Amino acid sequence: MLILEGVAKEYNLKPILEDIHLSLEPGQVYALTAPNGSGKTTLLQMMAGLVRPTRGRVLWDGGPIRTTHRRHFGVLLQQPMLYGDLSASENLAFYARLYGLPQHRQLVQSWLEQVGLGDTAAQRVRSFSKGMKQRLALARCFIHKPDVLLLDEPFDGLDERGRAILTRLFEQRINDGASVFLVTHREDEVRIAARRYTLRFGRVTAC
Amino acid sequence: MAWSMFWTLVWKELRTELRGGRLVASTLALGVLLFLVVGIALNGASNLTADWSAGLFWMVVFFATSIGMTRADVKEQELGGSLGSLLAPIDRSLIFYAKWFSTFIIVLVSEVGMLIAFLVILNAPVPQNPLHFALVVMGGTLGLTGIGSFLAQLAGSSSLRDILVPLLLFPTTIPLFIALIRLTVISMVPTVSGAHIWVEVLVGYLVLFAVMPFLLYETMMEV
Repeated sequence: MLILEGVAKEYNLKPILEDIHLSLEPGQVYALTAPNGSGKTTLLQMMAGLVRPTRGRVLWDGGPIRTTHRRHFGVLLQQPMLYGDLSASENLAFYARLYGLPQHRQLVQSWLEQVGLGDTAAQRVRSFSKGMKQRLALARCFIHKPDVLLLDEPFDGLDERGRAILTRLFEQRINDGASVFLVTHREDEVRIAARRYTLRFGRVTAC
Repeated sequence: MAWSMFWTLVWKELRTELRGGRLVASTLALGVLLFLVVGIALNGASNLTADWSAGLFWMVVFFATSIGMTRADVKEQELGGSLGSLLAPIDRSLIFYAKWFSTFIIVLVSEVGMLIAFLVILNAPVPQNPLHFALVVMGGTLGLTGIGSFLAQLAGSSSLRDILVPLLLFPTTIPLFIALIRLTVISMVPTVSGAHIWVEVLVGYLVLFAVMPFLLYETMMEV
């Protein structure tokens, strides 16, 4: 379980996030709505261990997040976190190896098929459309079967087919007991969440 | 396990370079151009002393490498790939060591071209002790790419990244720069003595940049 205890973040002495308490329980979907520039990306990055809080603690299973704990997180930020000069299959194979996943060749092919990129496996990601990059980013995010999904506007840039793929992947992971933390602007996406929060003026409040 | 992760990261770096060819192409083109400009300005430069030749060689290598490394780093951050690597359950210092090693290989390849340009365009004296010279070039490149990779990661989140790396690289490498010039002169003219102190400076840099990232990198990457 991922827990945030009184987390705060300042940049150049300017408070971005203040006194945030959250706990993500297995199998639950959480949605956070926030206006642009309110610090939601910083919050997600802090939950994922990319940004260190100025105050407070981010805990995994009651202790500080260690290197090996990062395998429990699947993170989707506004950037797809891919390498433009590598092909789709090379990108996924690279991440599969970094996460120590066995039989990564079959795994990569199966994930490319699942996100509808089986035919473009050998194409460089640089040549992909925004939607294709987002679908590949989804495969990167889900490939290691994370226990916590931290997703920033995951439906952004996806067409109907992409949205259906993401919804299916969501359901699979939630059924397997993963918790999902979703940052979104869209009301229809908020509806799937059991618990809803809003981030304003650096503080997270339940809706 | 750590070795397999290291080679995975190196594979990614080299594969990316082979596809895009940014670092080799930019450093080599810039290096050759600089030698050409200096060669024209000094009228073939056949009268340069070993000190001047060695100084020019390393100055061009430093300048071309720092510019090339900055550009390669900017391209890597384009789609956020570097963030994805930081999320992986591996010791983050491995990312630095893989980057260092692969950049070393890539810069070494472009240095072969730069060296030919140096010898041909500047009519520079051929080193009398080629083995010594090769070791100095390899050691110097290892030191330079180590510091460059470290600074590129350090300045990674800054909006001034493009100019910060070259600006920080030159002052932090002055002792290394002097050591490399002196060692290169010694390899060109073996009668010159006093190599020990400069070897110690070079080794000191290499040890520092081999150990420091292991201790600092994880913390450094969490801004």
